[in-house]
Amino acid sequence: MSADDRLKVVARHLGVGKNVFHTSIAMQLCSSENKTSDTAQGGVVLPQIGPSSDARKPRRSKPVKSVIPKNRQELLKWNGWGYKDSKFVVENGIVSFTGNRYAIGNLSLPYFTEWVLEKFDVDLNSGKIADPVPKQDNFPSPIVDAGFLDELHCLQISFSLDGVDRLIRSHGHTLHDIFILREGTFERIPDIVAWPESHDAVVNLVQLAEKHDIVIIPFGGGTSVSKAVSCPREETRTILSLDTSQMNRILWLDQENLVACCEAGIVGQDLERELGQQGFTSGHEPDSYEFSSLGGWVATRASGMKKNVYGNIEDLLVHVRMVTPSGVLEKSCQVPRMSCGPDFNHVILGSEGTLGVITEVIIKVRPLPQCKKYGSIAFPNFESGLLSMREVAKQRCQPASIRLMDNEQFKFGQSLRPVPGYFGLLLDGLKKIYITKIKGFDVNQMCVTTLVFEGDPKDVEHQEKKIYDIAAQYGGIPAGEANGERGYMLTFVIAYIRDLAMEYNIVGESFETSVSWDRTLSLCNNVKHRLKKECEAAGIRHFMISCRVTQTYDVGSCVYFYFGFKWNGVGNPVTTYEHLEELARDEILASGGSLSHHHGVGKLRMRWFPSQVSKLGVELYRATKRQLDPKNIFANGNISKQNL
Amino acid sequence: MDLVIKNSVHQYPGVKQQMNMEFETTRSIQAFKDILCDRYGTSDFMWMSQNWQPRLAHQHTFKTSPQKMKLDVLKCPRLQHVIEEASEDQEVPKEQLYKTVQSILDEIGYNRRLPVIRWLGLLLLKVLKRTCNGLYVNETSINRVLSVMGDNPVIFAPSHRSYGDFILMSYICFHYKIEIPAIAAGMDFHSMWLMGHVLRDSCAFFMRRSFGSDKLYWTAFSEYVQKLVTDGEAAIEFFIEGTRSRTAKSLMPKFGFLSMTLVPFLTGRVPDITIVPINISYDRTLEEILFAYELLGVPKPKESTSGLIKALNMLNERYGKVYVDFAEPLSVRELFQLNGLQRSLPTPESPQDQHTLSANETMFCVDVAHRVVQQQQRHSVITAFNLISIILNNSVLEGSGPPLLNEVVANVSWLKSVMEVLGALIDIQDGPVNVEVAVKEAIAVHKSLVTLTPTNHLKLIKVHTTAHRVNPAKLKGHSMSEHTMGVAVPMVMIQHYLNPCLHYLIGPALVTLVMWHLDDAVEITRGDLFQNFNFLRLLFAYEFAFYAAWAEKEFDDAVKQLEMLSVVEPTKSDRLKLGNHRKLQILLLNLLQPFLEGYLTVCQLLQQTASDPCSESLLLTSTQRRVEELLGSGIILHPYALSLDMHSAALQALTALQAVNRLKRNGMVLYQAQTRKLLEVTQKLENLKFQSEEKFHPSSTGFRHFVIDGSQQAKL
Repeated sequence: MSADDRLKVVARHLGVGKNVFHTSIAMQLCSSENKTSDTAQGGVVLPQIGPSSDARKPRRSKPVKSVIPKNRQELLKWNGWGYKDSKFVVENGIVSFTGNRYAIGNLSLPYFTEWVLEKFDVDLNSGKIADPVPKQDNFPSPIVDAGFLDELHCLQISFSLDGVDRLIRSHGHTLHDIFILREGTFERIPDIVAWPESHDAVVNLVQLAEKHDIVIIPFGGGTSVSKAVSCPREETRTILSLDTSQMNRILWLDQENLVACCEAGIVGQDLERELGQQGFTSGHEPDSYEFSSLGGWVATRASGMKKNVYGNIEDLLVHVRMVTPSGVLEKSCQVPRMSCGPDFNHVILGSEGTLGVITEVIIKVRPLPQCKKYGSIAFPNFESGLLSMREVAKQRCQPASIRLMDNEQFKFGQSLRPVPGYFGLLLDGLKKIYITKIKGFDVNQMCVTTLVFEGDPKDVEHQEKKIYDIAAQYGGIPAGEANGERGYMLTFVIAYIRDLAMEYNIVGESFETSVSWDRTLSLCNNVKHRLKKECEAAGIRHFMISCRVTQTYDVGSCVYFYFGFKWNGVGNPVTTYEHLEELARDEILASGGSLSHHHGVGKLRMRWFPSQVSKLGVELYRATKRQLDPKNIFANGNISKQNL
Repeated sequence: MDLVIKNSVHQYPGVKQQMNMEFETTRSIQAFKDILCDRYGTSDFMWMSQNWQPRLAHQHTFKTSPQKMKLDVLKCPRLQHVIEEASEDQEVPKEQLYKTVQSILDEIGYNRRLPVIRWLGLLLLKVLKRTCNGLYVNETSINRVLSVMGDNPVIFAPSHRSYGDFILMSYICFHYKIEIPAIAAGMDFHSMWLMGHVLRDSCAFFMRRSFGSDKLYWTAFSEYVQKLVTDGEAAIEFFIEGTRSRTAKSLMPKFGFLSMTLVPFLTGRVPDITIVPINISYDRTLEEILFAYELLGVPKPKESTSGLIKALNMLNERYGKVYVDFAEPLSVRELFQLNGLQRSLPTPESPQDQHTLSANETMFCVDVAHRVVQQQQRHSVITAFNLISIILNNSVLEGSGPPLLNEVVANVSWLKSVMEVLGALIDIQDGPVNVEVAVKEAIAVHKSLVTLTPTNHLKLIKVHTTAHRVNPAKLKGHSMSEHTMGVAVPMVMIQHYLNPCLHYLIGPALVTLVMWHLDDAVEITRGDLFQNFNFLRLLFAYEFAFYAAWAEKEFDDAVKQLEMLSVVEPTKSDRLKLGNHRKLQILLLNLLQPFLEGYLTVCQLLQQTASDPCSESLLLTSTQRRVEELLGSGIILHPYALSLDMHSAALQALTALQAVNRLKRNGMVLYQAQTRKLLEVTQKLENLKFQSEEKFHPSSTGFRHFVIDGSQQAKL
């Protein structure tokens, strides 16, 4: 039966014409949003075993009003990063940032404009305009079986066959994804989007999918940069995008043990806001935390900016439930740690949606810190900044966050400042004189470390002193709170730049790795060297390659690269970019780096997976997959080829 | 662990192909500029004391220093580990070994004193201006090198024909404002009074010749070299041939030092390494006489400062022109990919362990080493005297008597055109007048070796005098008669000057040799021809630094070139037969003559004496004795067959062919014949050699016509 035939069946079944059908279904089913959560469909149904059934636990299931609506496209760009109202625009040849969500909002940015012109030599008056939202008729018809829809209907799980709903859940935020949204079409998008509202609903949905052999691709915040949520183009079965966003309650908060049980669909900013209202924080703050979800963090082994104080997701995670076609995988207790065979939480962590859907997570919470302070240190060069960082790690006195930006990024960061008033200008001038003339720093070599301190004011003070003392040994001088704060603000804003860049044929992306201390510097140098040579060989004249060291560990660091170039009109910019990133990854691996520190494998990096985990490792993973998902309905194709 | 990483060398839009390993056809003698020419009429002192801001090979933000590098090496975990091990094994306190290593590093480590470099440069400049007709540097090629410097470690790999090489290299670097490279030098210089210091201050670091078993030294040295690669800002210069080639032919490259320098790339510590093969061609080699004696078995005098001062007598000599050409810089990373290799992912490893090369990596080093030598060869400049030497050598073997000047000029013109077809760059202007000028100039520069008689015949001078006699006990080989030496020394010297042409001629010559000796079948298939060619190529592998992997390519090239030169012709049935360029055929065969004679004698001698293991020195001595006898009886025609280097190259090749067995007993190297295989080789060689006798009828007294006594010449 062809897709169209099937669709007709569906339409007949629902008793409406083809065109009316899309909108009416979507409207009708999306309206379920207002239903209260303690109905049978979305209520807290406690399982027989497991921590939630423990009577001692306070039961305060809290519905969370998410910032992000069920119709994501109402608030978020359909073909770019973040909020619709926040973006870089060019007005009268000057770049500015719209909206007032971020500190640089509604400010014109002449220095940044200058930087762009110098770096990429673009004509700011002739931007490319992206394609409009595709018309309903232009979406591929959904492949859906009527019988399945019937049963889905019975389960009272809200779903949609609407083209836009399906499209915006068919991709993450790789350059490739965004480029296709702007100038092309995806070969395969999900056939149906479903919004289960509880763990039990997910259990039912997965069983139903298993019965009908329907592919499920879990979808959280949609911020993946590994092509993890993309639909495998050769998949002929119905693909259902399981959107977890309506499963976003904080089921309970245990102040005694400092843990919170949350549904997996809650996004970072909602979680922080809700916990904050009660005086707590999870402390997990990946750069995407405005949009990314708790389940997504677990599934990719995410890392937060402030992991030095709070830990990475694997440190925060106390208990997790994952619904698989073979059942629910979870531990029966909620304890700080246990010696009880291999830790199966680690089968779930980093499973990237290939084994099941993560539905509920118990995470550690901490009381909100009394004091939060930014800081920054200027270093004469990258090497001295790195040595200082290494020393901080050696003494284990890291503040909540410590990051070292290279010179390229330092200059870029400086360019994102607004025009200062007269006094500011004077101050700027004085600062520059102090740094370059008195301290003898070379503006084209100096680097900046940005810092976040959190905790007791006293502890913070102590920490600050220690850090600045270490820095001083390596020639670092404190460069003020404002620079630090701008550094972290940049983290959130930098993601918006790509959308502007693409209008001017500049393509770029970030990628990351982790590496031992003794190889950190050579890895940074090698990757930059390689990309520079490869760009030159490809006839690319305008490019930027920059790195920052974003995390410190006892044994090594996490390095983040930003790489972008102005397309020179030869071939396809995205293909060229992807090829160059592949070469960069080869260089990273040969330089002793890992495949990924926190972005995950997805489909983008799977060809290197065996070389990282050994042949036996791949077999072990596949055996796990066979056990949990024998029919391969979680067939998003991440991590490793699923030829079971 | 299995790697599923596929070779990523594939084309994608907008990428131009960068690699061009093929021979550059754009070389021209016009690109060579005499960098001494602007030094006349201006102050040398001002020039050498100029404000000098050199270009760095590999820029670092963190500046290291020669002292810091030694300290870093001393602190490195590998060396610490070896010290600890040795301390336990030998029951020596660690502190003592620590001091030993410190002194080892002091012995190795280079220094950089710009004033010393400037003074040395000034001295050199004065000497060069006095003795040379010009120092010609290919500016196009050096600019190409400059354009790729700065981002990653750079290795300069010059050919090594003379002590002059590294002093000249440093001067050229000074001239073009390139940071003076750290130069790997042999220990023999280290012990020279004053010179050891001067060289160290001019960035030389010292390397013991053999340190196979001394783990402490080996670790310290290899760590030091790796430090130079990763942290150094200057290029590293080393001679891939390991030593000066006494024969002026390329020597089989050495792989040890090269692989040490490549380790930082293989382990992902540096992104790439640039290797620049460099050719230095001399019109006249400073050590020409010494080399001839060394080849004949008279040992080289120990490097000493007094010897150096004696050498100052050479200031009254003329040495003609020196040519320096920089080959296209090789990117180790690109070569690595080209060989279909991927760097192995660094697995968890103890920082105490040395990186051991995998089989692939070892193969890669061999490949790179041969490429470097090949590029050095392809960037040579052939001078008039090289061609005159071939002509003269040919006349001797043909027995046609000393040639007249006009014959020499005509033959040089002809040979020039042949060599150009083979890809040589020759510093002779076209046109008969220009050739004659060049020939006369060359004869003037080499007036101590050749001379024109009043009748305009070109003759050799008997260089050997009784003053050169040495204590027979010190000889490396057989003590030869004065008569033999009188003939041999000038002939070996002539061979020294024709040898630089051989890498262009050897392939064609081997093919021609095989074709010449076809029995009744006048035609031969390419396959059969290749079989025979390849046998000879294996036999002469160490003589001409052949790389086995390139046999087919070189065969095809040689056949193509010979077709162009009408030496061979394709037949209708796609076979090959000899063409009608008889003159060139005979010339090529004559070039092979001394090698065939020498190798055959080695084989025959082994056959007779080495059925029981026999020491190398005994073999060399008796081979030389036998060659001398055969020279006397006219069975061997060319005294170059006396060369000890040739005999040891033959032994190495026969070992590789398993015609002899190489044994080590009590530290002595012994050889034992593998009779059957050796017989096979000998027979093949005999078949190739003996028939040639019928073709020419030289008289054993032929040499006398060619050689003039030095004293006689003085009277002329």
